[in-house]
Amino acid sequence: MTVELAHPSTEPLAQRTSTEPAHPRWWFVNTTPGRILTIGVILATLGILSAFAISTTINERQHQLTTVLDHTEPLAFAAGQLYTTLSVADAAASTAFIAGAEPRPVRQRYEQAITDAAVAVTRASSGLTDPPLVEMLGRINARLAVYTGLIETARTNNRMGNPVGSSYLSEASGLMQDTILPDAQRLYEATSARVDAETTASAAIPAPVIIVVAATLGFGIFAHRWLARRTRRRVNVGLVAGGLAIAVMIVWVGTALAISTAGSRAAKNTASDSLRTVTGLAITAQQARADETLSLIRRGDEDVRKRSYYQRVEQMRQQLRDYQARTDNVDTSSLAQADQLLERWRQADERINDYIAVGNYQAATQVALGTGEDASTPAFDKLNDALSQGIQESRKQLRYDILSARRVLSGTTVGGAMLSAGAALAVALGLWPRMSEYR
Amino acid sequence: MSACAKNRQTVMSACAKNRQTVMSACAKNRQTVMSACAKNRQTVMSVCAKNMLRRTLSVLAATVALTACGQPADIAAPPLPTLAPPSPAGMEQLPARDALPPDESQSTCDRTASLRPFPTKAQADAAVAPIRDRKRLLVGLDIGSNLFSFRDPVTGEIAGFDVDIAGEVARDIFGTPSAVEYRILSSADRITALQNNAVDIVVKTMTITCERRKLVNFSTAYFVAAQRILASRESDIAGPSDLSGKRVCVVRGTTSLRRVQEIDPVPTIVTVVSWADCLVALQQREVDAVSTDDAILAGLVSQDPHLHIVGPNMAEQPYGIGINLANTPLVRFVNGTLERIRTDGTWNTLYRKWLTVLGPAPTPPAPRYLD
Repeated sequence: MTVELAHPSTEPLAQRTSTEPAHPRWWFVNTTPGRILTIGVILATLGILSAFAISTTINERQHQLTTVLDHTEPLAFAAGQLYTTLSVADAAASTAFIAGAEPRPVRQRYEQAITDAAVAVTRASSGLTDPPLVEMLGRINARLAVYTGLIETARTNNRMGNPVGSSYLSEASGLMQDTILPDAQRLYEATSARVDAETTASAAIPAPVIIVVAATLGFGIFAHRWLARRTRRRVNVGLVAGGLAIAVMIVWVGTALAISTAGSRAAKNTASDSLRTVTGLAITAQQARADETLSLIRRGDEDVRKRSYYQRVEQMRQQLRDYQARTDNVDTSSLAQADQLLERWRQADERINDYIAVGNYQAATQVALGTGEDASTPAFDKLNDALSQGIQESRKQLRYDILSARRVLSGTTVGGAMLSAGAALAVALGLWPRMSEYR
Repeated sequence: MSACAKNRQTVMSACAKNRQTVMSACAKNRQTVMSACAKNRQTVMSVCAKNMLRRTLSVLAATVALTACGQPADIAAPPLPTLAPPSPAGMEQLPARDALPPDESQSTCDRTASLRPFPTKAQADAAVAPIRDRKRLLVGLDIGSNLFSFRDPVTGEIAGFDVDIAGEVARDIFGTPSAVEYRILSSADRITALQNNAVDIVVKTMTITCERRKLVNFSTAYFVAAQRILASRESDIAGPSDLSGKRVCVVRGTTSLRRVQEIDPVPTIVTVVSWADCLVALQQREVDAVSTDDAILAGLVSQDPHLHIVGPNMAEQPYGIGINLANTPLVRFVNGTLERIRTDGTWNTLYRKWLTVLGPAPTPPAPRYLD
């Protein structure tokens, strides 16, 4: 049995090829379900954009802080150590020279300073990539080798009773003070400026995140009100849930970013400044000590040395006073006694000058090198210890600040992204029933 | 098998050839290339088993070897910096100039003639009353002139012939040679220090010249030195004329500088702060020679046996004690001291104490007086 099926269309085929489309283009967008769908797509896109902006910004920030912690800060610290230990070496070498037969502790201090400087060069070299800085470090390293050679020549001549030893010593000291130390200072300044720059970068206001999240929130509120008017349902659970997710994310990520930024700011404005001030103090102290001991070698530059010593001591006193007057400095209790130690040292130096004025160099040297309570060495040593401790404390604070700035961000990347994506999903789920009403 | 061995040889020679080419192309990559060759040999042997063509193999070996060396050869080593050699603190090179005419100015005055000592002790005492009130004699000297004034490395004290002469002056004033305060002066500062009364006397290998006589006063000569040349034993410098084209070290503000500038053509002159710095410059090969008074050069030679003093007496250098131009009573007093040490044998004792390297003690320079 065969069944004949009639053609459903009774109209002629030619009629269907009219030039007029059945609906104008994008007609669907202008219908209510179309609008709901469009709003849904935009909201979802904004949600995903927020997730993206948050995760990249925070990732970037964490990465920057990790770079500072693992790379830039240790490099700056190594450069600071290099600068300090070179100054220690110079002061120790001239002290050893005027000490005549070089007592064991005096010799050891010089040797330790050279070891420390060599290690600091190695540490600094492992992180330097900037060609001019690499070259600078190369120069420091090359000249350090020359410097130790000159010091040993001075020492040998001194031990053999050749007066030319003092010429070698002043050549070495001139090399250190006129060439090596300025290079070391530039290196230290360049590297610590980089720590500051990178820390500052991670404390910037995250504009893209704020814009995208604000746009998402604003459009969400608009969408919710529009939908309430159009569908006569006061609350859309999906949109509200999405909004809540965004709100939670704003609070969470916002707080984390605020704390992190505060940490970064503290690291730069307080800890980094403290570290730089205390490092500067420690270096000035060593240079003043070098002035004090070199003036006892008597090459005719005593007046210059003496002036330079008083200038440096005055500079240190001013820096100490400024530092302690600050309210936001790192609590470096070790520096509390520094002012008194500085004063004691200066008094010892005045006694040295008094002895020199009456031509009693033996007694002057005794004051400079002696271990008595009113001698120069104990005051200088204690001051130096206090400053070294201050450097350690400031550095600890700096690293702690940066570390906490990074720690507070951990989890926010994933959390923020998930909440944003969740918001997008909630919006989709909330809009779907409204869409399906227009089937 | 014989074909295979032959094959290996060819490839090996190709390798060796490669190595040569490669080595000239990139000298430092020998290791890479050699390992490439070793690798090639292995490849080649397995290929040999498979009866591949000999030519293909050698070409392959060459290609591999060349590829292996090609890349590192392109990396240019960063330029190595050259640093200035270390030099004594304050060393400077004078600009080149034409030779100065021989110094005639010393004949314009009677430079070694000084004032006669006081005839009575009362007059002498009156002359040094201000110094006696101060309880110290201020003496200007330096510490870089070995044998005359230098820092004794063992004691840290300043010692030397000049120091002891100053001590004798102090002995006549205070009864003890230790009532002395030293002011370390560079040679260029000696005259200003006297003019400013920063020191009472300058006892610092100071040559009496007519120009200086116009600025400061001098005692009678207490030592006569001869300007000569200090050079390395291995150098061919034997006299002033050999210095042309060489680098010569002198201390700024000394008469030695002027005499070196009279050499035609003028050597390259390097100036420093003290004579000990000249020794450093010589030892560090910054200069070829030092030219100054034999007495100072002897102090440098005693610290370095690789040096010797050469050449004739280029200029006679009578040393005097410098005193402020206006302080003629002190000049007479100091001349009294010098008179004493010449006659009582102190001068000879001091000479033997410090200057025996210059030969046996001569007679002290005879005093000459204006009045």
